[in-house]
Amino acid sequence: MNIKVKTTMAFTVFGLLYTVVALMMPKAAVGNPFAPKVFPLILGIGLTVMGAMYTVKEYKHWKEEQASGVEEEISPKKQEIENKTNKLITITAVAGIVYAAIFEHAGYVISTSLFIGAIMFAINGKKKWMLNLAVAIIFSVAVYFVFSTLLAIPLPKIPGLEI
Amino acid sequence: MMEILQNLMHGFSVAATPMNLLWVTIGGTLGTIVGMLPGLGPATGVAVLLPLTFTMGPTAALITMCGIYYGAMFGGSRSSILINTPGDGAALAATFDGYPMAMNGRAEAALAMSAVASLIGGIISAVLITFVATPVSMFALKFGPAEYFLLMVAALSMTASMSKGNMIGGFVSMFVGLIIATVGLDAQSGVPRFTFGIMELQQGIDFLILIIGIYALGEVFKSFKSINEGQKDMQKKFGKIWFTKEDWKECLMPILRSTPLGFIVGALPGAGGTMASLMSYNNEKQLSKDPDSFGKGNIVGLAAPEAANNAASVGALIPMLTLGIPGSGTTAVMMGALLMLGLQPGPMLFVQHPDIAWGLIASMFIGNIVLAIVNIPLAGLLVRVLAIPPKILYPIVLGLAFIGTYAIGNSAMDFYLLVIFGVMGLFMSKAKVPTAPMILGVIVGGTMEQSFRQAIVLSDGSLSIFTGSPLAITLIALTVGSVIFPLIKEAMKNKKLASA
Repeated sequence: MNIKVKTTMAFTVFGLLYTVVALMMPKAAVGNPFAPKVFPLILGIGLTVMGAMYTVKEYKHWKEEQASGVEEEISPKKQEIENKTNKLITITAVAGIVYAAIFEHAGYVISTSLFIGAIMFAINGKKKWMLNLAVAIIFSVAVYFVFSTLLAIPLPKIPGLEI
Repeated sequence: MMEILQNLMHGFSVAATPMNLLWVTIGGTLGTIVGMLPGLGPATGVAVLLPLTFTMGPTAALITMCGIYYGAMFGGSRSSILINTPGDGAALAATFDGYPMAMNGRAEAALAMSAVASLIGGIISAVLITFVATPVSMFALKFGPAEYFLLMVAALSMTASMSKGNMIGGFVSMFVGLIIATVGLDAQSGVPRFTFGIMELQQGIDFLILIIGIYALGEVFKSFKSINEGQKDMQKKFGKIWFTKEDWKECLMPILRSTPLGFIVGALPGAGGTMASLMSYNNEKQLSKDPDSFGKGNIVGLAAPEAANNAASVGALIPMLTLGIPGSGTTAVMMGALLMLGLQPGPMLFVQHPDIAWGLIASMFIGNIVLAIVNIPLAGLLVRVLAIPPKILYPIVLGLAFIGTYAIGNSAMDFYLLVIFGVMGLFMSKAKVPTAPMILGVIVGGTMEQSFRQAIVLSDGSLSIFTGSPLAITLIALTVGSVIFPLIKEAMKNKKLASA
């Protein structure tokens, strides 16, 4: 199955799960006990129905494409770029999650240097380590300064240090 | 009439203080730079630069934001002209003739004409909004909860059905947006909904996080591909940035024709700058004596869509300011900014905060003029930003997206949501599911449900209130029409194809 069919299926399943959770929601203690449920139920059913229609449409389209053989051949070069891109996206997403987990504990400057550094290394490779580190550290310190001093938005500090 | 002019004068006295002029210039310059960067349009620009305004007063914040907004609009076409990469969808039409012009050695004329066309489009539209805003908001004050609910239904269904050739995808996207808006404590009963016991979710999901996720993260994810494909060369040395008298004569009428078109299209929910600029491009091509020269560097093909695009960006502010319903991703971010300042856009804005509403309108005039001044002489300097390699640029944009998110809610918990939305945006774009209906859904979802429930309470549980007034029936007709019209159009197209 191609990505369109998979994505539309994911939306349909999401709609179904959402509807079930909406049904299980506690009743309201004040006013009409079902009032908080009505709107979510309409939305959940709406998404499930629309999602199912969408999936059928994309599935048919995909079958037609397969039957007529228009599915384009992917050249090795294109495939290589595709793989590299996907790897980069995965690394960024994982780095983002790690960033979220350490942000308030390690402080802004350290966690951000690690986050930007990880992405810089993933993009530029180890050979350009000087550039990678420079961008990561300069960015983190500069943003910290702008936010905490100029904009008066406090950012988490490194434990035990005043930055 | 006199009253409107008085209000506008009052707006100027609010907006044109030296400090505010400085802010609009800074905002405009930063916006131009961000808007220029490939893949980062006005919505991302405003979202990423939003934290800059957090410590300002509401008027200054809003004016700076406007500067960023117009700046990003001006900037978007710079990269279209020079490296054939539009900053956002609305700048797409500028690649058709702008890039060939640069290839023919006329980059200077292209840069200058795009700025002047944008300026004229922006100023005329600012005049139009001055006269349209009050009547529209007066009219909107008559809306009861039932009409308000139906208005949002109509806006959503128009946005969804305008998703070219993919109406069903538009509706799926819309439902997802509305669903995201239901997360959090129910405003009327206090029942926690879809929070799964997570404290941070009780306040609901801030739609700015969704916007930053979809636009900043999602766009960078998509752009990762170009990192591995290598960078494009561009012209770095420029002569005098100006155009000839002949160019001017040729372009004036197309600019004047495209402006009202862009303004109206921009004011419709869901249509926005991309559609406005493409429509005006096709229009001028049809009207031209020499349509074959379009796409080969005809300056009219650049001037017309640029004027339409900027006019649309002003027009798009009408539904946001007067009805509280943003028609595009960028105006949605602007609305988020207003909400953060504690201002509820909608008809009451003009009654309760006239200084802000009119200050904003006055700043459109100021912002457009300042930007033309910044953009023409400094174009050669500003476009150097395009020389920053994407390999450094994208990590920095990611860093800004995360810090922007943190500044909204002071919680790193939001980073998880940001990553989820970024990945979701990537998959939606790969599967060609439009994102605009989802964003609109998240924004109006809360108000929409409240109006729905208020209307039901008013009518003692009967649904008849939704057909109880001529206005309500008109809105229903609009909604139905917005769904049926594209279907008929498609059926007719298929019929034509079959008979041909």
